[in-house]
Amino acid sequence: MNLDRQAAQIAKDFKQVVFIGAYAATLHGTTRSTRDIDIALATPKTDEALGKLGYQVYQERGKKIVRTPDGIKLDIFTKDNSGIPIREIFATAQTVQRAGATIKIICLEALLLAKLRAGRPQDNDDLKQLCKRRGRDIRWDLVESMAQGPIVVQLRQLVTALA
Amino acid sequence: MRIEPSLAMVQNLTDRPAYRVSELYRLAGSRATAYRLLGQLVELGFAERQNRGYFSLRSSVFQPYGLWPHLVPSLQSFKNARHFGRAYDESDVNYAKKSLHGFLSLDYRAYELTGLQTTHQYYLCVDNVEETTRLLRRNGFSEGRAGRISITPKTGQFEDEILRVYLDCLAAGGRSTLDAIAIDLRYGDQLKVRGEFPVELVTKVEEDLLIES
Repeated sequence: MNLDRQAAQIAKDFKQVVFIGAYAATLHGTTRSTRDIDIALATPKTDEALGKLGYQVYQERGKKIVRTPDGIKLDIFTKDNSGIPIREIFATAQTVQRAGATIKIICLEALLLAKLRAGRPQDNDDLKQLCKRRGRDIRWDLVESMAQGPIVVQLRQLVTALA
Repeated sequence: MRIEPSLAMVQNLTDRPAYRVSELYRLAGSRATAYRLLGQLVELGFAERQNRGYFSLRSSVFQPYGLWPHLVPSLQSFKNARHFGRAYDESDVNYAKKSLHGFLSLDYRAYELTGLQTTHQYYLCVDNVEETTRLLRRNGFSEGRAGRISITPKTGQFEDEILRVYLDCLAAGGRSTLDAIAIDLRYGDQLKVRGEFPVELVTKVEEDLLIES
């Protein structure tokens, strides 16, 4: 299943959407991701609206699961992503071309902050790769507009250590 | 390779992308001991020195200490890996699939077993590294850090294929931890040795595996 084609279709279906998480991270320079897609939506979609677009919505072990018509799991964020408000993610999103479509992805700075806050092994792995490959591209003014205090210091230390 | 019990003190750190060496002083009791222990962790393959007094740890170092001896052969294998590239894209992997023979592990084998994550590194354990690397060079591959074809000598046990791929994923840590969890969920009854994982990670992998099944 080609995630780029899935992303292009999702962008067409939802219009106001920013890709976040591991898929966006691969577009910033990481090498691997799970085969699900995380998105931020400016306005929440009802289950009915998702159904009309061909998306499957159901409960599994007490949790709402959304899948694309091709069966890819879709995690939808409408308030924040690891503490970064969705409006900020939209305001700072970058535009890229994938599978013939223009899609918006979370900016590098917000992605790094989100991964730093999440702190799971896969997030730490992605952080290492991003700091090594993209550490010199970080816009620190943007980082400081989204976060203050120890987390910014921690990110600066990581870039010093790994870039 | 001997694993000194005092190395387990490193498990008092939390899993992060990088640490200052000075953070180890307090745990180790002295600066000299901290550097000695860090040197041993680097030798085992659990740690890597980074810029300006920093180091990083593989997340596998946080697996129970009793599991470490099972992880060391994989870690040694990673340390000895040599990386090759020609076009530095999927075509390199396609060439390797057709032309090279050996024990396939990590990304590509984990994908074949579980379908959980996208692939990147083609990691092959071979009987004769020199012969394999000569073949790659003759066919236009260059050795470096960025190559997607990783060649390493066979180190440790390979009789139980699933177990070895599992231990390689577990030892590699980071994103490969998710592959290890997926193998554990799919083939757990065949594994003689099993790692320990946070519940939230297992739940995530369970949910993602349901997509594929």
